[in-house]
Order: sequence, then C-alpha cells, then structure tokens
Amino acid sequence: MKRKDNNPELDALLRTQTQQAIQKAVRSLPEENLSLAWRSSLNERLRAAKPEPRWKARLKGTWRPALGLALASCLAVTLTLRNPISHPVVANSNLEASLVATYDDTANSETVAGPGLAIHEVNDTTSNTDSSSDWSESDLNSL
Amino acid sequence: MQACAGTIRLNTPKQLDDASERALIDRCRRSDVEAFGRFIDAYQNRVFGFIRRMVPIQDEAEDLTQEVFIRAFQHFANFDGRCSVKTWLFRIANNLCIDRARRLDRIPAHADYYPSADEDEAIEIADVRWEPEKVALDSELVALVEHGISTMSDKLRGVLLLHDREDMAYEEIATTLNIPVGTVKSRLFLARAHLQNVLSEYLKQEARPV
Repeated sequence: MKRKDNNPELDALLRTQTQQAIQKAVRSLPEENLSLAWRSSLNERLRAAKPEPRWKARLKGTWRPALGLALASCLAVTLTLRNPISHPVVANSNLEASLVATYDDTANSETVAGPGLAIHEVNDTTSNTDSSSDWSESDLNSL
Repeated sequence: MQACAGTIRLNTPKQLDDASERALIDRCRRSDVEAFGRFIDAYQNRVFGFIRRMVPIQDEAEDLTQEVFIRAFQHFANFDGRCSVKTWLFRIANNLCIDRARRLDRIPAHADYYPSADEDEAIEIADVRWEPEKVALDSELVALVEHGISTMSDKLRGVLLLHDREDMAYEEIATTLNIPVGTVKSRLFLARAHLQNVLSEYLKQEARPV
C-alpha cells in the first residue's frame, strides 16, 4: 500500500533545521563497544551451535504447506465419505424412451385437442366421452 | 560546553563492500564460522548499540546481541539475499527486542519523570529558539539524549535509531520493521519531536541565569 509513502509535507518537515539537528545529535552519540570477553564467549557459543542444514531449512519451508494440504485433503475425504453426494440415477435406455414418449404424447394431444392442453387433460376428456357413452338404451328410453 | 564526545562509525575499515559481502554470504551458507566472524566484526557494535538502547540492562543487551548472531549463523541457509545482511541482522535484533518486551511487558524506566512519547499521543513541539550550532555533545547532553531516547516508545525508538544512528534508508527500515514507508517517516518525525522537547527543557535551563 502506497497511500502514505509519498507525503511531501512530511518530507519537508523531516528536512527542517530542527529535525536535522536532532538527527545530528543522535548520530553523534558515542559508539557502544563490546569487550573481547564477549566476543570469545560468542565464539564458544557459535562453535557449540550447529547451523541448520540446508535440506532441513528447505524442508522446514515446505513441510508446513504440505501438512496443511494433507490435513485439508483428509478433511475433504472424511466429509465426502460421511455425506456421499447423491447423483440422480437415470438409465440411459429409459431416458431415451421416455423422451420419445413425451414428444409423441405432446404431438398427439395437439392433434386431438389443439395446442395448450396437456396429455392428462386429453385423457380426461376422452374418459368423459367414454363415460357419456355408458348410457344404455333403456336409460335413453326412460328420458 | 565541551567538545563532542561522540564518534561517527561510518566508513570504518570494518565496513564491507558489496562484492566481499556476497563472497562472505556464500561461505556463510556453507557454515563457514570464519566468514561469519567477519560479519560479526563488521556489525557487532552497531547491533549492540541498537539493542542497548532498546534494552536498558547492559548484561541482557549483551546476551541478546549474542543471540542475534547465533540465530543468524544457525539460519544462514534461510537468508535469501533480497536484503543486505545488515538489514537482516537488524530485523532479527528488532524481533528479539519485541519478543523480550512482550515477555516482560516492560515499562520504560523513569517514565514518571519524562512522559513517554507514543505514536498516538499528540506531541507538543516546544517553541523555543532552537540553535543547532549550540548543540555540542558534552556528557550531560549525551545523557539527556540517551534519556530522551529511552523514554519514547519502542516503535518510535526503533525507527529513530535505524535512521539517525544507522543511516538506513526509509525503504530499508520499512523492510526491517515490516511497516510502510509512510509510517517510518511519521514515526521518525514524532521521535525527533519528542527528543526536541526533552532537549528544549535542557536548553531553557542552560539559558536561565543562576
């Protein structure tokens, strides 16, 4: 983010005489010196300290992401096994047959009853017609 | 006032140029203790100077400085060369100081006498006649500057020391402390303003007739 990186006002403030004088004062502070005893103690500690081998450093840089990936994979497998995804099972031969049948029904219903009617409505109409033909001759005579 | 007691450490014979630093880095990656010793020679006093002002106890500062170099030696294989060794060492030093401060939840010494300066505080910049030519670092003034540094927050102090003491560029400090360049600049301004306030009191007292 570079929102505040270029601030000319702040740059100007940092270049004022006062600020420069403070910088000079801080820079002129006496140097801190370490003793030879400190240095020899450090040398001893360095000799005792084994540097991390390169392969170990590389491994260290890779094992964490690898471990994270492995854990995520385990979690995903566990969840998948616990809640198997249910796919609709469709038999290919039945699908083809049902598509053809649906098309035929629609075409027939349009031929018989005109557009806008579903096949069951066509069947109902037929059944009504059939029921009306159940009247017998005697019934007709009784009217 | 006496003459300046301070010494400027830049361009000392121990300084390493880029070519020799690269050669040393290759040797250090192969765990060459002697090559690493050259880095210690070059930076031990500077790293210690930084830590000494972040950690008030001398022995602890010395131990922490050793810890910086031991960690650097142990993990030199991780050094990717994207920044200088100096920047890397100061980053380790700063991180160790932060870890220590977190551990101890440190309170600055003598905070009751001089209010500590923090980023969030509004710093009142003293309106006194500041005359830089009068600033010669006698022992009293050195002590006062050190005191001013010790009473500011760790955040301000770190930036002040790295910029004004170690001559690091803003970008280098940003990399070392993992903060934006703009934050480096604002912290530096506040740190210097705090120091100015502390020194202004001193100059006022100096000017006052006895």
